[in-house]
Amino acid sequence: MGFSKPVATDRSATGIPTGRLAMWILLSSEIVIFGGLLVCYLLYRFHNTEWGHEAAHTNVWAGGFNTFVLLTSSLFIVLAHHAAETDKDNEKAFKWMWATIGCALIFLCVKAFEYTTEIHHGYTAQANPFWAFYYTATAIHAGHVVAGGLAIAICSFDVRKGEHLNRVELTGIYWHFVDLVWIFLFPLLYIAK
Amino acid sequence: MLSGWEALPKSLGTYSADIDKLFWDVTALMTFSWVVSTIVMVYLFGAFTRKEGVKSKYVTGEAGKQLLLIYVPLALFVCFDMYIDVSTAAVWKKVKTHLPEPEVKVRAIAQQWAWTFVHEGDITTVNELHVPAGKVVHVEMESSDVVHSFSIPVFRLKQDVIPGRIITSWFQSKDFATVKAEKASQIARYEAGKGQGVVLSPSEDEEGTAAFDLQCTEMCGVGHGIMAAKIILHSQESYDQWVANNRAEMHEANEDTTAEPAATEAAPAAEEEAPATNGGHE
Amino acid sequence: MSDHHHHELTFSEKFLFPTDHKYIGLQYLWTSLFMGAVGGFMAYVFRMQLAWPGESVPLFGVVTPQNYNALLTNHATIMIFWVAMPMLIAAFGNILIPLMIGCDDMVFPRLNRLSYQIFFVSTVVLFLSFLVPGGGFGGSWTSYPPLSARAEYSLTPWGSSLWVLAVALEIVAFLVGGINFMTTTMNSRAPGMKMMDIPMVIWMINLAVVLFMFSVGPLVAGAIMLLLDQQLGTSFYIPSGGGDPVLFQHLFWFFGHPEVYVLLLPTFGFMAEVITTLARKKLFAYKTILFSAFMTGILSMIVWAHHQFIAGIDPRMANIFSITTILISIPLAIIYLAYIWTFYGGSIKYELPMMWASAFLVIFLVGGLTGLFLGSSALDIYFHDNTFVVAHFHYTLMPITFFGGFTAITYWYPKIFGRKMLHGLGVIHFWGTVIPFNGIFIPLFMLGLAGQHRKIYDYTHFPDLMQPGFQQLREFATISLVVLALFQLLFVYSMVMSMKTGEVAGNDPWGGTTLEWQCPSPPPHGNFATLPTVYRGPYEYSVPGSDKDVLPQNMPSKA
Repeated sequence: MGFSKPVATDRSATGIPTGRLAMWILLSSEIVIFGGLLVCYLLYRFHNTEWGHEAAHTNVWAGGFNTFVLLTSSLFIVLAHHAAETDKDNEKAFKWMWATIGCALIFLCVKAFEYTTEIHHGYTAQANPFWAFYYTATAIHAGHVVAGGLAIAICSFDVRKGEHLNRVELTGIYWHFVDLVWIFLFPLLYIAK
Repeated sequence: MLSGWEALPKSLGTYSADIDKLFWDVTALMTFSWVVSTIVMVYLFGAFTRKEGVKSKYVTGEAGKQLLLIYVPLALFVCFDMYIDVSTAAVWKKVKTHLPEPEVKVRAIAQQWAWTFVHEGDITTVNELHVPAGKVVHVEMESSDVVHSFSIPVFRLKQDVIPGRIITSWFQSKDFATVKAEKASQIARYEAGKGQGVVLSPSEDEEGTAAFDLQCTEMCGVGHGIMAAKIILHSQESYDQWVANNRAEMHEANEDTTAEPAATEAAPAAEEEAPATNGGHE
Repeated sequence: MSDHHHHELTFSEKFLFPTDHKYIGLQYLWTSLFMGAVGGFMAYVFRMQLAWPGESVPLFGVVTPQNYNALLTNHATIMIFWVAMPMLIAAFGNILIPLMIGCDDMVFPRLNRLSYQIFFVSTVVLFLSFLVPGGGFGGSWTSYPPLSARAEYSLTPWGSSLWVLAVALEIVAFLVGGINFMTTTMNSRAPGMKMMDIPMVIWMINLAVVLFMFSVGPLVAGAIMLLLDQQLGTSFYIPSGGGDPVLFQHLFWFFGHPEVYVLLLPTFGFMAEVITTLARKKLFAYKTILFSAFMTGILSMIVWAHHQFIAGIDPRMANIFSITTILISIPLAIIYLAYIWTFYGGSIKYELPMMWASAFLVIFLVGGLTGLFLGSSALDIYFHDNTFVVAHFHYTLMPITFFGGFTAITYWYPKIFGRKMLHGLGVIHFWGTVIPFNGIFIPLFMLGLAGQHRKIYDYTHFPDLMQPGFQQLREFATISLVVLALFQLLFVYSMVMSMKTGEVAGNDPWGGTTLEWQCPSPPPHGNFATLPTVYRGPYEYSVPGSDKDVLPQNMPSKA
């Protein structure tokens, strides 16, 4: 016996499609989690101005480059969405989705390079709570980059076949959130010295 | 068993009576609220049971007059709330935000699982806090490991002790004669209750002292449940004597008297003065 | 209307890997009842130690200080996260939401299945934490660092982390489940069901889910930081490494306080359904109740530091939290008064659900009012970490979980299993629960007043707490607990026997107006042969001008 989609899934008393509604609800809980972490960081940072010395050692060029990469990837997923739902060009949508994933991979490589260098210089999570926050926040974020990338990859194959086209938008919304978190992390961890 | 039952412990501090009064005021208000509500509920539960041929009423609770049924009792309850808030603010200020000038200072160092007290003249004891009755005492508290909490029920005092910080609390007991009399009445109660199941004698007091429980009131690990200590209230003479004796001993023994937290064995100074305790003191 | 195929479910689709919301709900219900027995057993063991210190406890053995701490820690953790949340929210939310809003399932049935699976894994992880070297975590359910952050302090190197991981997984399960609840309620309502036509229990469950979602985030962050302190030697909470233990307290209680309202709101929802149906009376002041529930949720997010009045926070902050805490009694009083007035002019039938609902209203009130003692910062100086607090929160949480749970179970059992629960047995179980419950906790109020502090393995070390009568009170409380536990066996028996010998229910055994009573008992996969349309609000009883006593939501108005 198979699973069949219930009528409930396609109803829309609010006028918003269920997939999109669910994604916003998911993102709300994510925002509270990341928000909580960042508020803790800010409270500590205000209380411990000497953290500025530690923060001086984050690589602002790597961070800046990664910001550019993520912003570009957000553009790519928007283009994918446009291709899927407006142009109805599944092949193009597929390509833009994979361009997004490519950016994600670049982001992760840069991050890996940063981590390696920083640990090599002795800036470990145990060294100072600034570094503990740095690794925790960026690693959790990177985890979300991986999850988002995987989701886009899995959906891309259905999209290429012309199925579940709405999922380009849904993964896109998630991806913009991942980008947005980084927009907060970058100034807090890299620029504020 | 319950004869002579005292709801609260002896009230031996200068602000314990304020806390007790607030407690009884709130008890009166809350008891009144519960009793009246329950009477109304029980009446309604009984008065409107299902009867053959009798339809229920149709009441929306939205019409203005009907909402009075909510807002009038609510207004009364809000008055209770405001009384509680105002009284609370006054008592809290007296106990926690106002720090009177100290007459005696003591350091309390909490660790897993004992209290080390460093009295004036660097007299160090373990699990026994010695103070003169009737004087304002500042306790400067610190922890060497986890969060503990310093509690003396007879003063109604409690303060969490956080590692990495020094927190100061204060208390002032009533005069020694009052304290000793209250302790005597407690002992009398124990005597009267002997033979009724498990009863411990209260700590035996040396001449000129009265001892009461001092608790750790924050989960601090495996030994939290046996981190028992005492506060020993002295008459002025017995306190001066105690200080003098200990100073002399420290001088004689030529021991290192810097204020390090002692290990869990009792420090030499404490050995002399520690009254014999019953019960499972390790 | 429904063009997809509703087939008869296989064994696997019902009991192993269901996607049908009713069967997922039942998985949560059985798990929560089982965990209730586990958590209750833990309380039995540590209370036996308190009553007869040092003696071997039947079915357990001698209780060491380490055992004691692990038992009380996991008793609390299990009751909150593995009993109350799954029973009140996940079980009844899953069973009721699609039925009461008139659709055929949750919007994402496979995601729903996943949420239970994550929850199941969290349960396994928790049990693992008891079996590892060092034993289960014993630092209280509040898990304050540095005790919880370093194995050198907690002495449970593995247990501490597995415990945190189990709780974190449970939280994830509920966040995932919550997506389904909210999306389904918002989007999949039957045509004609406007916001104010939604039954109160559905509102309450969704408000609880929203409140949970917004309050748990910072704690998830805090738990990750705690895990890192435990496993990687970071110092988020260790002062010597630059951290602050009090930060965790804030993160914990920012969630911990709203959490009690997360648990309370669904039970308030159950009350609304049962009181209206079994008193055959419209709910008094629906909109006011709803507004007050919203206010409770919002206010609950600004009271948290009343758990920390003497924790080393700035004493001036205490006044603010004292005021907000006392304020929260206002919307709660409004809801209470509205429920009480719903009885007025009603036509009450004392079926089991109504008995439980009445008991809840009277007894929960004790818990609610004793909260004001603790919201007063000045009184809290004395009562913090005192047994009075234990009595207070059991007078709230046990009515919420036990009485509220029994209200819901006895009320919707006929819908789920097609037969009503055995009445006589239920009445005996009722009194055998309500009376001993008071026997446990009234002594704890008395002992608390006398200065007894919490989480203490052996009171014989404290002479002032061994006065005449005190140990008898501890024994009395323990014996009451044993009696309470034994009476629960009747409930277990009834749950099973009623399925076979209970009175056959039919669609609508109670005379309800809401949509779950307008389909078969039990409902088939897909719930409604024809998905309903709604014409009116819930609770339309004895409507003036109507010849019918009961007007279901989906009954068309006369032309």
